[in-house]
Amino acid sequence: MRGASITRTVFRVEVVQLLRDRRAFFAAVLLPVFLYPLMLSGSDLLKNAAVGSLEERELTVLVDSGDAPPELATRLLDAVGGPATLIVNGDASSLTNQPAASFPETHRRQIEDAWRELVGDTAQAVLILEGGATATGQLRATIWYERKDESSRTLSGRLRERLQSLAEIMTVERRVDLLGADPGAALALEVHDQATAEDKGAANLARFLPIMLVFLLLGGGSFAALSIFAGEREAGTLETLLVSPANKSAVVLGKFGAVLLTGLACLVSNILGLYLAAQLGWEGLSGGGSGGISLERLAGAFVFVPACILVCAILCLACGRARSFREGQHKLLPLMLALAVPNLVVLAPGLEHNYLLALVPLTGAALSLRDALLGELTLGVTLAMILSHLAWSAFAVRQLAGLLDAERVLIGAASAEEAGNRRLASRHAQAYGFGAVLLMLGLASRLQAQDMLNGLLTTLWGMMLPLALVCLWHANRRFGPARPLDFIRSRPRIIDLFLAILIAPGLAWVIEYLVRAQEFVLPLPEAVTQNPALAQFFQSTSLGTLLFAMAVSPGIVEELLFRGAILGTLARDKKPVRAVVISSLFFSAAHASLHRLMPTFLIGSLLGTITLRSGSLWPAVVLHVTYNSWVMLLGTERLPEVLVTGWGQHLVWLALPSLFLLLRPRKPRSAN
Amino acid sequence: MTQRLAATLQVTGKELRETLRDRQTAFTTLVLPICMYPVLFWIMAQGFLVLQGQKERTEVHVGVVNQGLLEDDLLRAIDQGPEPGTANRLVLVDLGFQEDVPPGDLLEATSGVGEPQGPPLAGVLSFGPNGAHLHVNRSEPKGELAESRVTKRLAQHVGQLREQAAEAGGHAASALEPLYLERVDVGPESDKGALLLATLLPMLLVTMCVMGAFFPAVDLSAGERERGTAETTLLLPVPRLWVLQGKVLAVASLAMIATTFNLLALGISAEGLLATILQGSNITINLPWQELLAVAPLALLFALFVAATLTATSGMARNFKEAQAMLGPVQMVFILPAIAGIMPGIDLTPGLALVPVLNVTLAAKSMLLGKVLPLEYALVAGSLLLSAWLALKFAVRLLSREAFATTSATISWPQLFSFLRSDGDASR
Amino acid sequence: MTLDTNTNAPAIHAEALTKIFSDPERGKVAAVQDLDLACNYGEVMGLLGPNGAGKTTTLRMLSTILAPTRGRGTVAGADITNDPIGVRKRIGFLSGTTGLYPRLTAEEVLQYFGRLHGMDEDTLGQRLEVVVKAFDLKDFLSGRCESLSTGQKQRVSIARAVIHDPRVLILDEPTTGLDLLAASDMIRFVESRREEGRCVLFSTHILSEAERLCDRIAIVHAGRVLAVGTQEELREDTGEKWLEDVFRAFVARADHSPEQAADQPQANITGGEPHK
Repeated sequence: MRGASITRTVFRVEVVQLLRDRRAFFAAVLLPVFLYPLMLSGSDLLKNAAVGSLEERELTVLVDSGDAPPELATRLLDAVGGPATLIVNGDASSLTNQPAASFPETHRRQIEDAWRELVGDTAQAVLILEGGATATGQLRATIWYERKDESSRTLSGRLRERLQSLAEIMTVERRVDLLGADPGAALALEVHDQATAEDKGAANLARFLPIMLVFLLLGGGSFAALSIFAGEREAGTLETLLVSPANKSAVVLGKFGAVLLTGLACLVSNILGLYLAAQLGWEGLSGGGSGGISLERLAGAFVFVPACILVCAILCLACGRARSFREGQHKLLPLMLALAVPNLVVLAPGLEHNYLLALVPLTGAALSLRDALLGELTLGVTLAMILSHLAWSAFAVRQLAGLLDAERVLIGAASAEEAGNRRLASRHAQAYGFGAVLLMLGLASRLQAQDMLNGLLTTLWGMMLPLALVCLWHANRRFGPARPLDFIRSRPRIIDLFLAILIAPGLAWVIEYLVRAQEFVLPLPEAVTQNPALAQFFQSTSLGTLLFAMAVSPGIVEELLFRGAILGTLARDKKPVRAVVISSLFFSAAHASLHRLMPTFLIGSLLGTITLRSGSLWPAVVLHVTYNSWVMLLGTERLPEVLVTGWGQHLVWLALPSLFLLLRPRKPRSAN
Repeated sequence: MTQRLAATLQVTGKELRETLRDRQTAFTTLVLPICMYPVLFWIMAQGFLVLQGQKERTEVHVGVVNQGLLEDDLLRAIDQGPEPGTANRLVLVDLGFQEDVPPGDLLEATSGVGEPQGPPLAGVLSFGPNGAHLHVNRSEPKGELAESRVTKRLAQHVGQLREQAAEAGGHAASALEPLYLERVDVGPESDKGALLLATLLPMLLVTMCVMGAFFPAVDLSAGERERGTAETTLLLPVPRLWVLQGKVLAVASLAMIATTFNLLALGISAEGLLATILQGSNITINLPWQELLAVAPLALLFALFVAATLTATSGMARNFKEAQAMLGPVQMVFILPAIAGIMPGIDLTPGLALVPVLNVTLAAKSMLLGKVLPLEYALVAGSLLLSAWLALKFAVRLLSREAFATTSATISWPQLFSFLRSDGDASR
Repeated sequence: MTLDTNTNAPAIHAEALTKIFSDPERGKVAAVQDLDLACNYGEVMGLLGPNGAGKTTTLRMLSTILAPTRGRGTVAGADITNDPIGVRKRIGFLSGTTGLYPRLTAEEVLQYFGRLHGMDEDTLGQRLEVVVKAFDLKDFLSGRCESLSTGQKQRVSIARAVIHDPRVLILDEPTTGLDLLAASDMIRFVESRREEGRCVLFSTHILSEAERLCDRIAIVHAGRVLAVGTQEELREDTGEKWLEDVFRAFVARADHSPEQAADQPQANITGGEPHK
């Protein structure tokens, strides 16, 4: 096997080179062994000291017993007074004279002033008792405190804790008094946790191990990946390698192997460091109980190896793209963040591993790792996870081989520039597409969270429209007048507009069906499906306003931006299919919802295709407006009955022929 | 003095221009924060929704011992919950009479591999004379779900029973609760968010500042050697201290720019996107801009200190790669005390005001909470300036050494110590 | 800031200049040992020697990039140990490794150095015009240095070194890495400096360059000056016709009797005294 021997040779050479860079090797692989125990035990020490000092801090509470019966008040004060807590009696009527609990912001000043005057430096919290005079009455205990003051917050926490346990006792007593017997007594629930100390430790470990492993791999593997790919390109030795008669993918495989080895070596040394830290008494690993995790379960951590391979492959890919060490280095932070996010899934309590999650890179492996630590690995899901991760890795390594294409490395700059020139227009469009998505993610969601209607209108007319116009103007200036403006300028055929209207009901029917199907894999939580605020908004807003804000405005503005500006500019130097797909991706991403990704992508593709085929933007605008209106009316049950259950339901069938007519191949119209 | 200032600013201007013309640095400093935060928060919010949806649709099977003896009302309450539907389903499995077997063993026996005909049980519920018992494994995802669902539904059912009993006895429902507890915060509502931020922001400030200074510092010291312009810089007809001052000032400005951009992006995107996750918790995340402005001078001093330290350290390296390896640990030296500073229970005292990094975190924390501690703040500023000046001196001493100008090797530790022992000549 | 106008004093004067590097592997290494040198205004002096002879270290000490371990030196009237900034203000230094800031434009580099030399905007503008014309930089003045060709870079570098119109020029192997045309431009530049009455000290290992340009040549080997003199004096001393053979003869003499060479480095020649 020629390829295998090349791979082995490259691998060996790379490893030797890495080992000779002693300083870097030391920092990446060996340093953590010492660093971890120091760091973790240090932070533990500090934390304990800090918490301890808070617990022992002597704090004073000012108590106003008011008209509470003396024996009840005494009982309360006995409960309140405890370690490090002093009690002073006083009159807090200056506070209670202020408007109560949910007082408006305007009274804040008065309250704060009264509070300052009352407690000054003498007390950190005030406890006011009211009522409780009769046998069946309720005693109200109000704890006044100042959240932003640490002492006050601590004291209020203490008070609440002590009073709550008293309240529980009193409640039980009262039940016996009033009801004779507690009807819920037989149902008092006692939960027995069957989890062993090992289980607890494992669950604890599973919460941070995946993210940590990924970080360690990236940290340790990055020095290898950078010097093997970016560094070699910088030093010019990549050229030497590529002109040698070696098989490219074999070379890449060898290099990848060296990175993987370094990453794994680093992993081992780090885990060793962690083990040392645990030996030195760091609590995180032992799960609070004694015993700890058995070696068998720890060995289960090997299910994460496919993820390790994937991480190393991605790392190589990122570094292989870099032209210099420096450039590669700059990519590490974003990469770290990007790879950490899928692992956050293990922080979600109560989430079960399934086949769908197993396919998601890193997420699947992280969940499998958790299950392995808990000793609950299921064969099918694990296999799916391993296969999918290996497939992802293979994909990444293949991409890597493409990157090391001799031509790109050797003639790099010149040809890259040439290629760049050819695709300037689509890069322009993509930049604006990203801009639109970022605006939606960053600003629009904030605006719409504050005020649905105005936020929506501001987003569309105030942000999206200017963006579309700037994009068009900019493209026009850079590349000369052409397609995007033609879309907007050219007069549509009337029949096209009519056909577009007819498609809407059918489209709505198809999308609704698809969304229902999506529910099986990607169910929406109830907080979203039954959002009272949204229902309230639809109910309280007039039909005209709704139609304008949710159908007409998006129809015009979104079409101008995504079909007019972005698709139009993309279509200059991309094939129609690609242009439609890319513009639809931006369109769906701008809707900022994972659950709407698929439907919006499909709608976007349809609208894009219609625009390109008809040579005009306006059929798409009409379809968008009609579709939005239809769905909105249907959803808020404002659609005339006859359209829902009467002859209207057969409108659905008009969509297919209309679509066919609209998309039929035809000659491009002359520019009249 | 004016000459010195003019020369320093000349150098700063040139370095800033040069650094920001570098695509990567410009990207990391300006573009990355603007893209990163919205995308990051969006992913978190969407991920939360997806996971929430998955969780709600997860069916949990709970075994019930002696189900036949239970009242229908109770069973219905547990089985369906308050709002029947596809979400939060709890399926009860009748385990029949199991007098001899402890319920805990039933869970062990039926969950996992056993019981081929039924799905694994997440919990076992049994009722006895002394109350209800639920056996679950809390470490397992479904165990947790079973516990929360059973607990919630049972509590609701019991609450209803009690209310009915009280009503029958002619008592108000509130009478069942002899002690009603309430906590009132005298500060405004926005304090909630401010507190959350005040605990996190100081650490974020320090981290952002260190991260922002990282690449420019490497670029202006080790990078210069790599690009072969170190000699050119040494030929400048002004003292090397001035040149270095200019460089440190440039690095500090870039760190500040990066921090500002980070904060802006964070502030703008956090509220809207995190609202999904924080729904119902009544916390709004608004960056306290006024307080942040008050922290700005402190942040500037800190940026100077960081810039001086990082520039001095990376000046020892021969090229970008080695500088990177060196600065990794140095970064941790900055970030760890910052993490320590946000722990509860540590307050700014005159003593702590002298500990570098920790003092900035603590001072920023108390400033964000609107505390006025003139003495401590002055001490913090003073100690920051002093340490920045010391780092600058250290850097000059290091960089004015010929070895740095000429050799292409990284400085070894023994060499470094011998330099430091000998007298540096900053005037050169 | 006042320039030393006393043209009778030598432009460059070095006495017992010594530089010892401490190398972690080889211990202390003397790169330059007890070097004496003098150079006048209106004179081109060449340091001739093989690689590693100590030429670069000498020039770096004279231009205050390095501090000498021992010995004294003055350049254009300023002491290299006590007034390094004065020296840097008065000299133009150029070597193969004095890179240009890649991300600045040629104009920005020139302005940067001009301003740091304390020029006001008017003077700077005039000087810029002069150097742009002299080195024909107009076409690429606003291009970033990283995008310039090697020859263009060299021209910008020279302009950078003379933007403040220095009286002393120190050039370290200025033609290394240049193509034929650029190298001859360089040589013409050095000649023009001599015409203007400046002092040029340059190092080279290319004999033809030294032959063509130098009024006097100092032969450097293993950190010592073996001989200093005009080309005729050196030929006379060794009786060789070609400079290459002259060089070999001195090196052979030094290697043959190291003791003697060490004690009296400039045995038969007028040595450190300025030549008139």
